Amino acid sequence: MGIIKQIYIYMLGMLILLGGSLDAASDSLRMSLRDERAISNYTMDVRLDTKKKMLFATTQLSWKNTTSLPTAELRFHLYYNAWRNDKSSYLTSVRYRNTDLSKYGKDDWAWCEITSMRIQADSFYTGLEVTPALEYIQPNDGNIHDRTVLRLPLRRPVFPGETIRLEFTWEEKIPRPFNRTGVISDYYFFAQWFPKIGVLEYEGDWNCHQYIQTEYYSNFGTYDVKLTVPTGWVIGATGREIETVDNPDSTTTHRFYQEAVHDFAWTTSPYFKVINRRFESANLPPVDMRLLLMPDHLDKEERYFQSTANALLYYGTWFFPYPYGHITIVDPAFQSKSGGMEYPTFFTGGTRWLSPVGTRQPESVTIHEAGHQFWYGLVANNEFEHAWMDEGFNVYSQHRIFRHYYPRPVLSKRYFEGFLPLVFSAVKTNNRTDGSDRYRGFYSALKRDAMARPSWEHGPGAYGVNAYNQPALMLQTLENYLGWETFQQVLAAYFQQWKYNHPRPEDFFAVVNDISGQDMGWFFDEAYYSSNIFDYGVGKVSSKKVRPLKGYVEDQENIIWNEQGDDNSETNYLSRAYVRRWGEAIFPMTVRLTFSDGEVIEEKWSGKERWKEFTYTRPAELVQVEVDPNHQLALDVNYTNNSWTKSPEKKAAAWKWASKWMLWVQHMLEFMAFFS
Amino acid sequence: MKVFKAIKEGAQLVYGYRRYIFLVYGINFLLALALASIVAADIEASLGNSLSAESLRRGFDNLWYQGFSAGAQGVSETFDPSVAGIGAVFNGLDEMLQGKMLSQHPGILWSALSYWLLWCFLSAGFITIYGQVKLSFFRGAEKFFLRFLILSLGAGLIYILLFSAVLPLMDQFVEQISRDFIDERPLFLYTVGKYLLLWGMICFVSMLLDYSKIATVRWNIPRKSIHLAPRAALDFLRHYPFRSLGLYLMNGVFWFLAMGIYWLIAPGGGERWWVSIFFVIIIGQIYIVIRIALKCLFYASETRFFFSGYEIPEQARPATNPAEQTVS
Ligand SMILES: [Zn+2]
Repeated sequence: MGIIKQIYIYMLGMLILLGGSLDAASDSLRMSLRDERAISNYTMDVRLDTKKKMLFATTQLSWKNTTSLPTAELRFHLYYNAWRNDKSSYLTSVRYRNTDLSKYGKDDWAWCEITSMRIQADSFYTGLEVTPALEYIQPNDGNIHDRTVLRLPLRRPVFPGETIRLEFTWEEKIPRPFNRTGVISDYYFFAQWFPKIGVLEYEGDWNCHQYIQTEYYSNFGTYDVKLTVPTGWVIGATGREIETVDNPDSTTTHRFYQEAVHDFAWTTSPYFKVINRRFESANLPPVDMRLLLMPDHLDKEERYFQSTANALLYYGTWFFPYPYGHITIVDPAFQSKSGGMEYPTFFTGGTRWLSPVGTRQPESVTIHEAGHQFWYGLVANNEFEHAWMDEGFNVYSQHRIFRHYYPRPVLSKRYFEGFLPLVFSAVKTNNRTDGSDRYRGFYSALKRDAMARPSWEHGPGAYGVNAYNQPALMLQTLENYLGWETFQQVLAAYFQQWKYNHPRPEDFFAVVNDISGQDMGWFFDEAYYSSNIFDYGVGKVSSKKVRPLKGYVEDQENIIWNEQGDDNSETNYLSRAYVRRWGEAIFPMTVRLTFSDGEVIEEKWSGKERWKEFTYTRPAELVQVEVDPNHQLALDVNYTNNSWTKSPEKKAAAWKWASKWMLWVQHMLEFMAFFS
Repeated sequence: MKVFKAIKEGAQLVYGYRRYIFLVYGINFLLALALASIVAADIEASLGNSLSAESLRRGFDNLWYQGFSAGAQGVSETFDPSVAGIGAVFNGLDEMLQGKMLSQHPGILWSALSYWLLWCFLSAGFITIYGQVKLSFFRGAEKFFLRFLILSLGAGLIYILLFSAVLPLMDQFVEQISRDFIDERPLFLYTVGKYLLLWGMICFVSMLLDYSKIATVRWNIPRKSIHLAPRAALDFLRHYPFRSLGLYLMNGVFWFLAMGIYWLIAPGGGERWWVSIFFVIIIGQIYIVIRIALKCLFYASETRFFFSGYEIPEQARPATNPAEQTVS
């Protein structure tokens, strides 16, 4: 390319950069840029030093600018620096500021440093050493102690459609496990472990947040990674192992390769037992499942496989067939803090040595993390800002599987420092919203952040509720409102449209409106954009015999006095029922009224007014009133007040449970007596 | 005296004086009932006229419970469905095991402390009648209450010390050892070992307390020389280490056996109608009576064992008025 042309493109780029309108990043453009599967491509050569507990690595990164704007810088995540010191934005975040650091000695902290970086020469760039230009920045909070984002200013911007190739060497100190990564004994788990380029958004801004309290966000790409570990150690990673070479120094190099993913994680330990099984189903592509099992959980093999297969089957049928053909399930080591996390084609479950079926461990976490292969792995939302888009979708979908495949959930509790589980098979918990309402905080009068607030900004207690429970209930409510057939089409269409891509909330809302043929904006305004809570209830109900008329009545020509009680006509009841909206949020309601003669009337109510009265004069007494009888509004924070019945069994119910509590007190007294 | 003979004689005495077991049971029942009435009223109020009452009666209603527990106050805060079935026992056992008895909700704690105090009084009555020292239950209870209280407070201090100083040290030790464990099983064994060691010490103190009380009754050790009672008990244990341990373990086996049987039959929460609810309550109450009876069997068998021929050593003999000696 001639120098004049280069200068021309450069100046054009700068013009767009300075004055470019954000309109350029319209939705149509985002949708038209379908080449999303190979933006950030990594070739890495990594050596694990188990003596020093360090990684020594080189990375060759090719990054393509698929936006319509040039960029004059690159930004990288160095996640391991979140545990470089105790003033990092991670360790001072609302979510993690109470991490117990007393158990972390000098050797248990971490760091990551890029020791040298070079731009590789090609038709656009001359080879250039750029290490001195690297600088740590803190775009979110200005915290100078935080070194989780590194910036490389470029002398020459990367223009739309261009690819820049970098080569860098880096070293990393591996911590005692923090947030699912690190080393304990001979068990290593590597997640958010390598210097990783951020995402250049269509608007031209780098989305490369400091590591604060959320999970991750990256472009898709190809990973070709060589991992050198002690010979004989078992290794599991994103992708398929395509090459294994034994080295003269008692190490083995394993090469893993995977296309069209947006992260790479791996684990190694001499203790894993490896079991392979193939998932096969009539209408879905087969998947090789590889399970790495720790020795104290060998009896959980079947349950891990069954759960993974269920996720592949149901998500595959409902949303989209799993496309990668292989999946690695890691049973995390005890105390490794690496359980329950998803990475492309690779995830960790979690269980305990003693964990009967009623505890749903590993089932629950396995289905959840396998499910993330779909919501996160393929439909890859930005977890910094919209954690709910993978967690909420996944919790919702996971509970659908539970309702389909598993018996009703029951209470379980662990005793003796958590070692001994007890399953209360008679105490069934919820079926309809099982698990979604496990946070008592959902009932908190204190209004939490609206779901629309970026996840990394969520206040105390809000992340869990807003990322997991509330969105799951929101989706359940949508399913109930639109019907499963329609909603399944919505989800399948959304998946089809946004696989290998990064949808935003508005993209999902648009698909809902489009497929359902209804404008559901009113619902998202309440459930997503506001922090309003939903609570409908039954108010005062009365049903009284209608007394015959008392007063002066006309009798032919005369006005005569009619005393009450001399009317022999059929007895009627005047019944009044109030239903009320206690919450701020609005949702259309069905009101079901049942009369003593068995007749049932269903009424519709817009749910907009604060209350509505239903009045009937009928020969039968009103004995039961239910607002939202089918629990369509799963987001209703108090379902107990949704019904009224003339003769509730509350004495029996109260004493049944109070007597059990009483027995507990009686035993407490006896235990106390031991010490007398 | 042989262990079995002590148990047999003890059992006969426990049965013979069974009316006092029912007295204790009655107090236990009324104390708990007073608290349970509050919880029942709170549950009832929170149900109102809701259909949740129906689902709660048939089984459990977790949606109701989420709201109830978020708004519960007073002792009702402690209500949770894990009190169903054997949970009613395990919840307390687990707290006792880890020495968390004093970190209860205040409503429960005060009742438990009152019950503890009451047992200082009652145990005096029981040992008096089991020792057959020619005093009635209440006369004996009255006579020895303060002395027993002093002994129990002394033992209480040691218990507190064991739970608040020794257990944390053991915790720390196990934590350090297991810091890099990636297999749960060895940690489980260490934890079992930790509690065996701790509870070995606790049971030793408990035996010492029991025999101190028995010695106090047998020789009418006066309050001002009450320190001689543990010395006598210690001396006794030194004389009969295996038999006293055997007796304690045998009693312990009975205790665990009773719990095991209750575990097998304890209804979990599936009962629906008043009749079945009542039946479940009765089964639970029978178990409480059995627990109290087994506690009495501890006292009775130990008392019979102590009274059967063991003579007080010279140095431990309290300077009491021989006229007051009540040895049978
Ligand atoms: Zn998740």
